[in-house]
Amino acid sequence: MAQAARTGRALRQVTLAALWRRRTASILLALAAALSVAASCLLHGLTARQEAAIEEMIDSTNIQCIVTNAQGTGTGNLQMVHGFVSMLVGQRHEQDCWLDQYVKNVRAKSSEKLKTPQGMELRRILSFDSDSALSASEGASVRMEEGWTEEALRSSGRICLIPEGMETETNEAGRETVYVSMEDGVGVELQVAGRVSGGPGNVIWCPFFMARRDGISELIWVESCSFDIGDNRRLEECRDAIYDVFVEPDPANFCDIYTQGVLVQDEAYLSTLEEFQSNLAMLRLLLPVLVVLCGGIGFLAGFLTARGRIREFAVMRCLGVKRRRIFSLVLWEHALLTAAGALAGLLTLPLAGELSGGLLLRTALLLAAYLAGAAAAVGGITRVNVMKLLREEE
Amino acid sequence: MAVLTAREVAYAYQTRYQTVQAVAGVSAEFEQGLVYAITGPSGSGKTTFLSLLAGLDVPNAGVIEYGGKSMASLDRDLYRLDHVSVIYQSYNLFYHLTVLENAAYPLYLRKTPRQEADAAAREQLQAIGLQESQFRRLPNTLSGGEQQRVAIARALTAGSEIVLADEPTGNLDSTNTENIMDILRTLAHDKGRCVIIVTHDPYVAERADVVLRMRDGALSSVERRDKEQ
Repeated sequence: MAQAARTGRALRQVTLAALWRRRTASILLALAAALSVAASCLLHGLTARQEAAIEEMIDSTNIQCIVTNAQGTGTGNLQMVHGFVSMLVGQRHEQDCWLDQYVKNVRAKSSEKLKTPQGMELRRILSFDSDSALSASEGASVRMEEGWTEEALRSSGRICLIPEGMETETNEAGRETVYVSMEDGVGVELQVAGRVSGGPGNVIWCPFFMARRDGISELIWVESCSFDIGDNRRLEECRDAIYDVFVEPDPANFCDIYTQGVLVQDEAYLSTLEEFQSNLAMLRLLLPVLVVLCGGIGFLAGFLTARGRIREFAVMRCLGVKRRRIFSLVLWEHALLTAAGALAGLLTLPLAGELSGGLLLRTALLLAAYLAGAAAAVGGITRVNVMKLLREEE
Repeated sequence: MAVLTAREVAYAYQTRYQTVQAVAGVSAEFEQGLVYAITGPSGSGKTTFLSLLAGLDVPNAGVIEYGGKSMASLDRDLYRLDHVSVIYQSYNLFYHLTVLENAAYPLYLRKTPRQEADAAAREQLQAIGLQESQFRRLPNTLSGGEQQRVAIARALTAGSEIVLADEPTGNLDSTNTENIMDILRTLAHDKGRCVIIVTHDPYVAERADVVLRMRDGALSSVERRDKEQ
């Protein structure tokens, strides 16, 4: 055993020394392997990034849907019954008529003039961004009172947001309130849940489904409504569900309060997605092409490097070295050089993202191509008549 | 007793246009302790015959025996590794190994530990007149004569009973030719090796103990000379 171990050692020591002495060729071979693996890593990284970008885009893009009349001509003054909003937010499950599994971020607004306080307007909203007058881009800022969040706007509670500086009263329970009465004379006390600064001074905001009278459902005329697609991965399914309830806007449609249209604004999303996916398809196509190309170069490099050593192999044959021993020695040399190159190439791994099975497989294939080239050359060389070979070389 | 025997050995090979009968029924016996020269015009089959003796190729007909055993029954690679050394006109050294590594190479192949192999090679290199300072040099930094000595040292280190040389002095001047012939003769006469040289050089043939002349693949004459010449 010890003898056998020593054997290999002596021969391998001189083989290693020889590799170093012809270092230009050795380094070139290792460099070629390093570049092949690095290119594979790089392309792998680009593909992974493109895939991640697509995933992120799908997850983070909100595809907005705007409710219009049936003809698609109006979005700001819909005169739509609130039942549509109930469906969108999922309040009609018991009637087997709902859309909340297909949509998200529902925004709806309804306005009516108030008798009291005079000159003021009551706006029913589902969220802050249901009314552009509450947005920061319009200069408004909402400050909720302690214990209240925006979520309160989705309830039917008698609460409100008032303009900063508006006078309020304190009820028996010690809560700050404002009293409002509508044009039909119905009055209601609203608890102040927040204040709006920088917005319009003549508007009071309350939850969209705020009940004016206990136990009585009243019709709310929706002024504007929009929402986002719930899951972009199920875009088609969501569209189908939406168009089961709404219609696709068309000037030929008849307009009434029970027929509303929806504009699904997915053009930009779909064109971007298509662009990303075509880039990804290109990268996915390039990857095997690169592997084949680099593998071909590797095969050729291995072949030519080994082929350049005809005389050496011929002399080895003359000295009685068996073909398979030359074969294994040369493969060992090439494996050493290409593995060193591959390791260097794998230094670009941070650019590739993470080490994956696919990347390792491609690296192994590239290395195999180098070894196959060397094996093909050695196989061919050691088969021919040695004396003839040496004569030809002379 | 003959260490190597050729009986009616024939070898033909096919070129693109014709079949060439390179060796045609050659019979010869080679003994240890003698220097043989195989001469003849170019294309007479000398080198082919040498390659058959070296086990580098297989005759189409006839038998080559080593130590009384047919080569066909031997592992030809092992035969070359253990019993035969071949020396070439162009030295055929490993140019990325040092002089010492070249000379010790047959022992590395035989799985001899490095130190032991190097010590044996050093001894042989010194015996054929190379300096210690040259041992770590690469062969292409040596003169032709010195390179041929390294090739001979490699054959000596291998310890083969048979040394086959194909035009070993073809690239050397007369002084180096004389030196190399002295070494080969010493190898045969003092160390008991069987040295077979293929040559065009009349001087080499003149210094051989037995001269075999070949023509058109066949042996045309065998001339024995006085060993003390």
